[in-house]
Amino acid sequence: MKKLDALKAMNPEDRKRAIGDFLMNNAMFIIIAVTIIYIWIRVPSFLSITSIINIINLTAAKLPIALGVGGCIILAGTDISAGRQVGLAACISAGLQLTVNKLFPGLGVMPIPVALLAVIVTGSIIGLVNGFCMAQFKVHPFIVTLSTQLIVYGVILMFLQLGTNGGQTLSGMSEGYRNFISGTLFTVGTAKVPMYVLYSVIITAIVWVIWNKTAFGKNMFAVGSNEDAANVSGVNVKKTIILVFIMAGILYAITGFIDAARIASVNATTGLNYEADAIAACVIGGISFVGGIGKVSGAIIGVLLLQVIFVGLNFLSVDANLLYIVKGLIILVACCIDMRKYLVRK
Amino acid sequence: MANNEPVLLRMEDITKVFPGVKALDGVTVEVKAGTVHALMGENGAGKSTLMKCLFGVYHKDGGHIYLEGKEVDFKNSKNALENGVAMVHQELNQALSRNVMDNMWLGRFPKNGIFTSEKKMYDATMKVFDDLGISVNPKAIMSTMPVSQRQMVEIAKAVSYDSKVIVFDEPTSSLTEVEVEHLFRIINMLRDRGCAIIYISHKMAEIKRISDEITIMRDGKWIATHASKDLEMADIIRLMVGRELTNQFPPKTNVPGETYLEVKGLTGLYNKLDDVSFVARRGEVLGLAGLDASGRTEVLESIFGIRTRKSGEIFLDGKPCKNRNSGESIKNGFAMLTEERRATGIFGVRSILDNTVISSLNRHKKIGPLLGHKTQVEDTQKYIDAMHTKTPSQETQIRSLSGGNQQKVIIGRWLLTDPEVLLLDEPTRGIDVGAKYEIYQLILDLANEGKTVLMVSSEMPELLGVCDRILVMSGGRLAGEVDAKTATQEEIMTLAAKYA
Amino acid sequence: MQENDHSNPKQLKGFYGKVKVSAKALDILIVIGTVALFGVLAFAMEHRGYTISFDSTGGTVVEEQKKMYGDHVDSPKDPTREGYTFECWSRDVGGTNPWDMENDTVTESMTLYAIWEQE
Repeated sequence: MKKLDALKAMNPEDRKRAIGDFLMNNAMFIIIAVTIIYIWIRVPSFLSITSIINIINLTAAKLPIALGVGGCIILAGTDISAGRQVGLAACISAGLQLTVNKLFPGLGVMPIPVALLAVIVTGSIIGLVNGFCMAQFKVHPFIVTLSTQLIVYGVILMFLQLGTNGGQTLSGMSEGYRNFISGTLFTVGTAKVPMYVLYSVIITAIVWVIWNKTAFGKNMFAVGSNEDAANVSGVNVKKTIILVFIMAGILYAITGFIDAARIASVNATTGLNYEADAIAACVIGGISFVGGIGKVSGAIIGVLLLQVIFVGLNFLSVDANLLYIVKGLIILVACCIDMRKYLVRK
Repeated sequence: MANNEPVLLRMEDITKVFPGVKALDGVTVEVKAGTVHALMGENGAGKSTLMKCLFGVYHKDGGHIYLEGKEVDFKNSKNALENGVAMVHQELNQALSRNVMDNMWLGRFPKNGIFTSEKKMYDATMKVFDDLGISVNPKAIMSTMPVSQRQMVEIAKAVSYDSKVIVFDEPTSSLTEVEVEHLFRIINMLRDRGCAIIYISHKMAEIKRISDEITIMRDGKWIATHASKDLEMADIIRLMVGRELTNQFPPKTNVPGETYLEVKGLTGLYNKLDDVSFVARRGEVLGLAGLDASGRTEVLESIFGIRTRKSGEIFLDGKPCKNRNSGESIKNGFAMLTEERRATGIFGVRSILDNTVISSLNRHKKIGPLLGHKTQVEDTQKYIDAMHTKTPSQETQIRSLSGGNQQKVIIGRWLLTDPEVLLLDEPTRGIDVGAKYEIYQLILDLANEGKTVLMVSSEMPELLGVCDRILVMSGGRLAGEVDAKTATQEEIMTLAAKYA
Repeated sequence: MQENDHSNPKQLKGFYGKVKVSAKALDILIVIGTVALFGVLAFAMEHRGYTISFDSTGGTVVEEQKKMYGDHVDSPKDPTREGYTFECWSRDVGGTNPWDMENDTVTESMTLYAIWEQE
């Protein structure tokens, strides 16, 4: 209660300011709390076991991409090619493991490790391109990843035109693949927790170790915090930037690999705008655009809170199109709060 | 030097509390019209905090401020400026991409009807400049001008607001001796017109020259106010530090050995370094003197590999050394303390720990690429203790530390790389007397251990007191070399002006 | 690596670039954003409900239905098409994702496509 005592000890004007600051800095959490409570009152089944497990599953599925984008944001950049990279990975994963393959007629179902390797290699290459353009040519992250986003979309479209598929949705993936991803890990009552939650936990743990326990991780935070100082201090800035984007590319690839089986149906719109959710989650979770700041726990909280809201709105049968407006406003408010914390002089 | 002029500004019983620390404890300072009142104290004494309370940057928790007898409470710097209280900052806060006139008249552009009149702005600017004897082109873009000139614009701006109280915060830290003279001339002029000048600085000699009264603060408390002529440097130091400091510089016991570093024909690709050659010996402190923009920093940066060389060779113990980038230089045993820690030194939002271990991460690799935490904590604590760095904890963000303590953390960072050659660029800039002495001691200890130290400094006494030899740079070229034991400031100044 | 005057303090703040903004402006934006957010949510609450459209892909027209989350779709009368027999409704045009009227529940607005078998 030290803070409360300090609050009482201030004069009225300072107290008003302190309360105002608190409200502003935590506005996002307040909004989310109010919304969740409201939804729960309207539709109590929203917080049933089944529903909560569903939210946890969705959070697990959307966490790797958030961690990937998170790394880029910590580097004081951004990555708006994330969504399309997930889409491409989903296409490739599905495309290699279809029971009836129209893309590669006659191709049997490829083993799971082969598909996984294929998407990881693809993601690494795209990440390499992103990172290299930024590190070597100093192109602004927004421009580079915008270009990549469009190019990858083109590749997705062409990929879906292969063979006799003619741009159609890919579905009918092999049972082995579907079980590997969505097979039951354990059940809580009637609610099922699928295998991919386990994979997501493992991946998150690995990312945490990378961010906190490796020289690469420390270098990432250093470059994001002050690139010039990092350069003077012996950090290989170019290598760090490239590796961060490669890491992100791999995380997007894994997300796509999981999503293809999870959703069981992949087409050209898979992955569209996923980065908006991921970026919003990161900013809400305290991974700031000023660079050099952020925690894995923040990303987890951000993804979780957003999922709670969107699942809740789904429960309320809210028109999906309005969700875009909601997301946009959330990103706006979250960024303002972020700027207020770090850009404004005290 | 009047003692019975009216009091223009009175800050009475000012108190400011932050969580965990009382930054100001009932401080009272009176500044009379037509005087220069120096405010002195170690880093963390509360000088900046006091000024921030004056300008409304901080809300004071207690006390009153009176301007010409009337109580005031400024909401921000702009509010203060409009009431005749101006500040010329240590780290200038200007719109660098705009020109001089825009910066002067921002917010109150002279108009012709509804349009801003450029001619009126130009004339008004020239009027103020001529009045003060400043020769700056009002149409020049700020970012193209050296710091000293930008500072002149700040001062002119303050005068154009008819400021009666002008605060100078470490105004000479980026100025050369010639520019300092110019500044003092203007300050004296303002004083003679009846302004009350508050002058914050660490430079003793300057304070003694320019000020009429001196107020000393320590640990957030007012300690003493005396007429400048009644105080000797030793008295000031004693009051500031609370203990006797007999010498400004530690005793020099290092004995330079054989040549270790040799630089031949250093020429810059995008800067004006031209054929710089010299040697540095083991156990030697080699100073680099010269005017602003004479190339001193460029020399260090080129040796360290963060500035492109057109030609030139570096030899370490006779063996050639490429130093193509900072990583390679560190492996070769070089360390570089940059001039501006805020821009190129600190990782502001990161902790003391992260800031300390960043250049020596390989020391902590335990299992494969994974870093152990305990060794990082030990290393960080070792240098917090060794350098008496004041910080609440290792996890504190470095940006909340004072400048001097930040510098100590960065020095700790470099010492952890176990360097043989240290390249220090203005190592004591913005640091108080007590900490400066500690850094001098550190430099001499390193020399005693046989390390080679190159030190850029704009403070002559410092160069003469700490170094063995001093190289003088001028206009990108090496103008000469002097022996620190026998050289005079005039000698160095003459060499510095040779190719300027 | 600055090639010019280095007494230029770095003002870049990461991805935000050289943004300089006051706390007051941000406060106003945050409040406006929050109000807008709640406004949109309130509007959304008034216009709840998902639309199930039926695309007969050449057959007779089938009316769309308004459903809430968790509802079943009312099985409409099978549409007719010259030369084809009706098979089922599917979530995609290709017929790989059929909709089970008995068990599947509504989770979002969607279009169900008629799958035909040639006679």
